[in-house]
Amino acid sequence: MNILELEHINKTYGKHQANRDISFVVPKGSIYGMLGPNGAGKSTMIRIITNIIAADSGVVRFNGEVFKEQHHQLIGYMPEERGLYKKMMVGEQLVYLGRLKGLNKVDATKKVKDWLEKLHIADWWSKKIEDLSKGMQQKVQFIATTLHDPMLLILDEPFSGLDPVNSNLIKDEIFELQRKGTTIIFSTHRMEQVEEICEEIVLINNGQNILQGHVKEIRQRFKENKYQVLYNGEASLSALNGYDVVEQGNGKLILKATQGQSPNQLLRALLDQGLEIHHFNEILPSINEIFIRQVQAS
Amino acid sequence: MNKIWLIIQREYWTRVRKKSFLLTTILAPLGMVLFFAVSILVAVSGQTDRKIVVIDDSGLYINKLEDKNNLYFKYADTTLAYMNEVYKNEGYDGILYIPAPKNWQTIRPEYRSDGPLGSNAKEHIARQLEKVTRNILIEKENVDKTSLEKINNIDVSLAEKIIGQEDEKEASAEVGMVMGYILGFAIYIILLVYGTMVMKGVAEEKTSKVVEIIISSVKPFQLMMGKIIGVGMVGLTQFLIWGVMIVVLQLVLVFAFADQLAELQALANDPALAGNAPDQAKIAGYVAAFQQINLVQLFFIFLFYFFGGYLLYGSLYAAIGSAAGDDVDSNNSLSFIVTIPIILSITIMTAVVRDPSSTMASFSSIFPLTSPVVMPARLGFGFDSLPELYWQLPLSMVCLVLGFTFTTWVAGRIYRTGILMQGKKITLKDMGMWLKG
Repeated sequence: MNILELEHINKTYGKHQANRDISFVVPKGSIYGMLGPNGAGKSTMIRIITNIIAADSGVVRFNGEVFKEQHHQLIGYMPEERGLYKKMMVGEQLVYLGRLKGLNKVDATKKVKDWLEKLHIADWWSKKIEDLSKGMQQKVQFIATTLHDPMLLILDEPFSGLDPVNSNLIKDEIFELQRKGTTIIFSTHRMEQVEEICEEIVLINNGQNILQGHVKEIRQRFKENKYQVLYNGEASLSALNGYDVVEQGNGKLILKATQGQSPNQLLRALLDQGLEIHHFNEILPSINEIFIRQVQAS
Repeated sequence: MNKIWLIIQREYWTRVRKKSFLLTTILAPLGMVLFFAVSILVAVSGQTDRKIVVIDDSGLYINKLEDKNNLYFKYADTTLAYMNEVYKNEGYDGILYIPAPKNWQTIRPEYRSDGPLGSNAKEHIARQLEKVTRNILIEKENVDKTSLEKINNIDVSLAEKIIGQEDEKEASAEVGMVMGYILGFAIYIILLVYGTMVMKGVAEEKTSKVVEIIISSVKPFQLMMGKIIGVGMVGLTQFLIWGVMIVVLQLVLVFAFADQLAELQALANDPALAGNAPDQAKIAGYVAAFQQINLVQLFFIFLFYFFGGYLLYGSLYAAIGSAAGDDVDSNNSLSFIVTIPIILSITIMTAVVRDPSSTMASFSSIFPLTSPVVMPARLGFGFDSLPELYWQLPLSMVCLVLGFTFTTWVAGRIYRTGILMQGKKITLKDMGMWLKG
């Protein structure tokens, strides 16, 4: 079951086409990465999903239905360009934002209190936003996004401006929400986070969807049959037919199997040479490498 | 609808609780009352008792000057030179020296003292001397006093009657003009002050980047309208508080300064000052003209133009605010486009109150960009003086409703694109494009 289905989305601003025939689906309960360089059209895509702007053509389905007004309440969105009312107090502001998402005053107040306690900031209730640091404001924004228990959470660059401690805190909350059944769309250009957090991704460049699928499957798809070996002994590489040496030295060897040989075949060949193998692994390309390769190719 | 209400509440409460709101709302009327109180005290404080010794060379003024208005006259049959030396020791505050008149047309008495007399007392003495001199002359010239009074009391005032009405009420142009000014000016201030407040609010929401979070919950149009209505209610609250405070403080003032006010009243009605005494008939005319105005009707029509005009200009200001760059001040040039017709309205209004039945008056009170300021100003004159208002008022109201419907539609389209445009200087051309797209 998919929480979100996009079909042939197009959006043009003046002469600039921000989204070009984009289609993808987001399975329920997943953490879904939306990747792309700056200006690729991610934010436009998200604004179309959240119904902030309308697509020129194409269909967005939320939970199987064409987007309706009520769906606003089921989505939590943390935009990249985000801020809060500077003069308002934390508690009051969060209750207001919760009520705009359809919570009543009592529920909103209770949920805000719970969240503040959970993030160890219960004493912030009557602090003004302008008195908080940027990272502190980000925590408040995260609460605002999740307060109404959305089915779908869309986070646009959620870690920008956060120190590692707070990044981890938010990351843990994201996993916790996923365990409870929330679907999370995570938009970023920071690839190491994608690999760590996301199960599936879509890669957008120049307004187009250039790659999509499961992270593991994509890495497999783009693998180059490279292996890394840590060993002891004298290796006679000339005896290794069908393998290119990519790197060698200090007991480390990186090889590329040019004829699609299996890892077992390679391991056997190395053992036959009398080498003592300490470590053996296949090198899969990182999402970052795939990303750069694909962006350059497209 | 529920969400608009939430937005209205936020816009309203965050502003009403601000210190600056409390200060301007409460201090402004207090300041005004303080100003009145000080003026009364200053006017009255000149009234210390003065004992004045009179040296009258002609002897014609002896015992003719009355003791009143804190002035007490005593006659001394001595020389000015002597009195100059001793008046202080004899307990006088000053010397009134009346030389024997050489020519009865110009009397040149002198008041001598070591301190200033004050304009009120000076005026009192001069008017009394004038009155006494007049009586002396009447006797001297053998003029019949009653005939003279008859001649002196001719009263001419030009009445203005509107032909073709059952009871030809007297139209008082002056009252209409003053009412018109007040009403037109009040709306002008409302449009400028609260319109700008809307613009700033929108620009702040955009530059603080909270706007995208909000419009992921509500439609941009709801956010814009919520803000416009919320700020409008702040304005209404401020006016209401001012109204109530001014009435209450005036009452307080009347009780607290009862004695001083009575004294001022006496001053004003003093026949000794009859030279330019207020014309009772004229005052009665003003009161009658004022009573003719249907205040309840006027109040509701005023409210209509308040809301209509405010919605029209508030939405335009919101559109301008949505085009703000990161530097909020940089869109001043754009806001000028909206401010110009408001300033133009007040200019037209000042001309219209002088000639409320001109073609310009009719046109500008129907045209929705100027009608919020001009029409209330004309209404001050009443339907009896301006019977064409019977058809112009409904037409103007319809035009204003169409006008603000149109501007809120236009503003909504500009706003929804403008608030999402970050970091780019926005031109009128861009706004035109958003309108189309």
